[in-house]
Amino acid sequence: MSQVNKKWYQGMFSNEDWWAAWLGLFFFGLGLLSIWGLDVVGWIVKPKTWEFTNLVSDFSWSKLLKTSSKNYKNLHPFAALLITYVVFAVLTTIGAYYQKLNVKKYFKGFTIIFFLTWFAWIVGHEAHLSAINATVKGKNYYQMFHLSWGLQLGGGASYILALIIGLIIGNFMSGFSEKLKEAAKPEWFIKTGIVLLGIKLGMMTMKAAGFTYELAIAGAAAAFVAYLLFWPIVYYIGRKFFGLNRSSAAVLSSGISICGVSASIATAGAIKAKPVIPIAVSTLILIFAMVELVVLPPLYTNLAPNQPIVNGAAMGMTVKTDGADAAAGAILDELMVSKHLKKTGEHWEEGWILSAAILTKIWIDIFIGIWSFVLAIIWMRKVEGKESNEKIPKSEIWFRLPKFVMAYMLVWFIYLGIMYFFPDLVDAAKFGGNIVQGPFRKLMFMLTFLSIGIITNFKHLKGMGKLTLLYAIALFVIIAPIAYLVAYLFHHGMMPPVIE
Amino acid sequence: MSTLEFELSFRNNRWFCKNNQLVCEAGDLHLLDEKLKEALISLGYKGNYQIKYHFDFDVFPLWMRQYMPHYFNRNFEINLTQNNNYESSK
Repeated sequence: MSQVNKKWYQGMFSNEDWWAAWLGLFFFGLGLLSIWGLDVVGWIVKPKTWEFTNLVSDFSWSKLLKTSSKNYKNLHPFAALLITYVVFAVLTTIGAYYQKLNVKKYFKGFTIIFFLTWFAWIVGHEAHLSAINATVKGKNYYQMFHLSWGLQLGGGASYILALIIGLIIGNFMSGFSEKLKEAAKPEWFIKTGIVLLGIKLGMMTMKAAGFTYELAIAGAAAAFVAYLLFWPIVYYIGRKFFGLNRSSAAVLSSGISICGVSASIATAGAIKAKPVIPIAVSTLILIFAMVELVVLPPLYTNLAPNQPIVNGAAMGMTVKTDGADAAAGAILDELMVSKHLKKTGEHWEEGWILSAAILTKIWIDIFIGIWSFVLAIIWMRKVEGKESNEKIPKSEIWFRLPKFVMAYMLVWFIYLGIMYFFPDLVDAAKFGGNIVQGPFRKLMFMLTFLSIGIITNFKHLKGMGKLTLLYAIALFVIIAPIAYLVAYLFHHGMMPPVIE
Repeated sequence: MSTLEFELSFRNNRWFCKNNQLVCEAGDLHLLDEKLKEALISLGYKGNYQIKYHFDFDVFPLWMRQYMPHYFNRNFEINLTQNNNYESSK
């Protein structure tokens, strides 16, 4: 059956972008019920920091897991894990059904991905990997477990572990990865997670409105500058030094310099390139996004440990695809917060560096529809230069507008509305909101880490020599340094709030 | 002006447009427009029409569709009275 977009509402129940919005808004709505005193989200399980010898000497699930709210403290942690599985499996399988995925394969694949994700999440919370030798909220797990050594990676250990497991499956277990691919949907998972991050942005605004607005505006400005700088430079290099034809150069420029796979498809569609071009470019983008995701967070953490927001924004402009950007932002957030805590004893509030990475990326995503529309007109009138009575439908902007971004903004604005018009409800709203933007959102991120590894196969680079070289040069010589400079210009001096 | 809608797809390096009356194929889009014009005239269509191509997104591999759910739709006008050769040969 074909999949075409004729009417504005088409795709509302059949594509992952809309489903990310629906799922994110559903969870958000559940969290918001706390305004009326209802806790319908506190059952979700979350990992605890644990120590190996302590666990082996006296095993208990309660040492590994706990429910997210005290209202569910009598629920056995393993039962809470199963409930979490059932809820997420059922909801995403409904989504998979409407997206016309193979439901049986999706359900089986999701089940395996879910439990592998939790394996990575729990193992990553082992104290030798995660505990930081500093007191946070009155607790120092490093000393509490009498550790003699530790990597002190914070929550970053779980993210890195999930990524490694995914990459091993994707690159060394091809039969197994094929079975999981129907359910390995990093973009769907991360977009849902980003919608939930809108709650975090709302809470950030409640705490520091001026800072958050500044972050949002600086992110928009930085994204705008990135569009105007990156695209023409990469296009020129592609044409002049690598002999690419106009279509390939344009699609590659958008992929490298704007927002990865979605930009390459949107651009190729705008200039009506043969679909084989964005397919080839997208393969390259995914593999390089993985390289960026692995290399950049530790690099920025070590090169500029005192520029957390600059690093986050630079990440948003450099790392392509929403999944890889959010994943890189999350790792950066964990690594920088941990490093700063270990070094100074000062605890930056988590989520601000990640939000800087996401906000910059969100603006880039928003503009892709308009950029493609403008590019389509320029291409038709100036580049092709053919006489034509073709009209570019304005609906093209709508079809390419990421719908999850609308949901993210909606969630943010609802929290702003509560803050401005119903200040008495803020604490009640925060109760459910914290759970949804905490364990719910982190689970979507963890699922993304594992899934993105599963769908990345470095063998696909074979035979793409010229494009690979151009991509590497453009990314590391042009995009990354300019992005950092632009991020520095717009964000330097901005610091996350400190938890007292 | 009447509107004629077609599903646009791409296989084996060729563009295809089809509806329940006809299927046309060509190596590039402008050639496809020409082929469509010929086919419509041969079916007895006359006058001005608004043509709408709706791209079938199933052309893209499954793993790519999660990133962007739309390629392009294409609208243009076509005059089927200009080409008298086809009218007379019908």
